[in-house]
Amino acid sequence: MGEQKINILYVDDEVHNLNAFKASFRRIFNVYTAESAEVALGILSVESINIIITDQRMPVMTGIEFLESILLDYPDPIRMLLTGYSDINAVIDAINKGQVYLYITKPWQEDELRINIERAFEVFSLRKENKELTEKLLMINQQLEFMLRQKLIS
Amino acid sequence: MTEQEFINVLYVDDEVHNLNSFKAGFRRKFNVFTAESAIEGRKILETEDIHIIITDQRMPVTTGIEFLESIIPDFPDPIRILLTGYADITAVIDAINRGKVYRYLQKPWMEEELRINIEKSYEVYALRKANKQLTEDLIVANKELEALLKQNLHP
Repeated sequence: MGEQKINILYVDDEVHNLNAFKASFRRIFNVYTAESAEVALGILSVESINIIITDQRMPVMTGIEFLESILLDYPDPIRMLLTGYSDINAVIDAINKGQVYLYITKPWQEDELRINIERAFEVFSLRKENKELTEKLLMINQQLEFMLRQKLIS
Repeated sequence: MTEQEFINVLYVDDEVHNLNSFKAGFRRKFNVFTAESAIEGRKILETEDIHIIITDQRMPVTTGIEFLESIIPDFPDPIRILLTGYADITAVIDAINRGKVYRYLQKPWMEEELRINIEKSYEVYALRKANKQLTEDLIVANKELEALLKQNLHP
């Protein structure tokens, strides 16, 4: 880990937030930005995104609604929500439903957000690795079983 | 994932009423161990298989960060959560790195939020452990397979 650059999609209707995010993180991460849920969907369909960060308050669709809408098609990226303190109950509900992994209160601090992105990426990687290792072990065990059975027959 | 398993949580705080309210809030969901000091906390670590350590930062003899830093060599695996009154993370970020703090939460903690953080932290603990075990199992299985193949080639 650490070698790989993390692919982040940041969704926010306020362009200056997108710019500030890019300015802070483009050297550390691969940053993709979207001004709306629609643009974000387009990016998700072509890029392999590890972490999705979205603002909660957006005009057409809220951040939680957006994350809920992509859950079936893109279950793997870790989903983070940026929100004000006033929305906390809705956020906790969304976390319990599995739509949101983590929330960050606005305005975000660069160090805090960076640490949380790195932690979230570890979870992404661990889950993926777990799946791959389990599959590999299953395959090898099947091979082993097959060979042992052949040996018994012969 | 692994929701059947009980999560062993150690909570360290010099204020007994905090320990009690933690126990009241979580004893039905987790296996809760409490300690009033760093020394007591270490004793519990020596006898119990603790998954998550939660500690208050402000304690009289040893601070939370000092406690977490001191146990890293002997107990590197539990996930460490710090409870702190600081609103500004930049003030504690260096300490967070030194004590390998996984999460820090502001006091007073909200029960729901702390529960979510404990569960998320446990997922990381369990995945790290599982992946290590899977990697070891894979090495063993590969060796067995290799040995069998060799036997088949030279019966």
